Amino acid sequence: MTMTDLEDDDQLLARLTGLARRIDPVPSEVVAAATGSFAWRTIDLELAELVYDSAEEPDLVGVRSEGGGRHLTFATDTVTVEMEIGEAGGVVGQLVPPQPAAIEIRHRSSTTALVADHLGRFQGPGVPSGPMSLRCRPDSGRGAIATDWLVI
Amino acid sequence: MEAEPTAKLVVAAAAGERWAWDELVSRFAGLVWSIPRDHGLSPADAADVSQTTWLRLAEHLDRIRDPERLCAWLATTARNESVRTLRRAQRQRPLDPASLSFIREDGRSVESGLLEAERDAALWRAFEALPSFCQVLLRTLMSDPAPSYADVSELLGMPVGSIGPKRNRCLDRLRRRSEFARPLPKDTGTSSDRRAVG
Repeated sequence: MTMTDLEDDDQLLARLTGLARRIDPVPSEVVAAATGSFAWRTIDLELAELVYDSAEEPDLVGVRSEGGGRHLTFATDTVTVEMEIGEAGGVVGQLVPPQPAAIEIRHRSSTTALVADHLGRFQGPGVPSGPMSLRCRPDSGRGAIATDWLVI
Repeated sequence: MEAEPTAKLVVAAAAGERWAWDELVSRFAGLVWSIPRDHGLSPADAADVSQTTWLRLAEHLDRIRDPERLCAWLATTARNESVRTLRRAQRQRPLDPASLSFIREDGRSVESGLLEAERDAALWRAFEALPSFCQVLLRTLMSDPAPSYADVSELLGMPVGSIGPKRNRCLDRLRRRSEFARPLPKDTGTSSDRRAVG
């Protein structure tokens, strides 16, 4: 192999292609997870987008939120979900406006069911790291939402 | 390539067609995987970013404004999630950004073992240093089966006529950087036993 090989565009691209496959093939379990994601579709719920993530904030010297957890806010036009994920993965959250609701935290391959009280507060045990999304069905029957997925 | 247009697959998958989803995955899994890896994330983190990207797509299927540009949507989503993951990692443990492209978090050094030769390492480093539009374009052109320019045009939202010139320009940059990045030959041990690739 000499430098002249790389002077031909097609050969250069072919070489790069071989290199990419050899260095970094897509693991089969990653493809399987992508395929399996289809089963997690939520069709009947409104999608709440991520509007705040403390992980996005620049580090302020000397200013640390208490507990060091990660704060997330998801919102639709009618409901806001504020939540904190603690260092150990524990979840504490608040619905705005406050209202009782059934909460479901979806992660990896299972879900954790929680209940928001009449003040809209909910709290739950550790959520494993990886993709996470939350579903919320208010007891009123109106304004059910699912949040965007993100990595925690 | 006489494949279904991506936009059709998006619409079919949104209607619940499993085969369409599977086809989307087989078409773009490589691209989605490559983005967190190009950001220097470990295989475990890249797997999380990849799965999150596909889960998001599943939720967004009927909300994608421009299904023809799904490729760009996937790339952007994976990139944002990669950057977020990277920031969290840096917060917990400062990383030297200069090292990210060369040493993966799993301890694999591109130079050691995996690559057959320094030339390949230089070529790969050069690829990782390309502007992201070049990386996305070249990654797309590397897809198997190789996409037609019409497909690439649809995937990346570029006029068909601009793909050839952009491809050439990106490959030129790659070539120049690769030559520049190539380490000086140390001895004769590694240069003679190179195998052809591709």
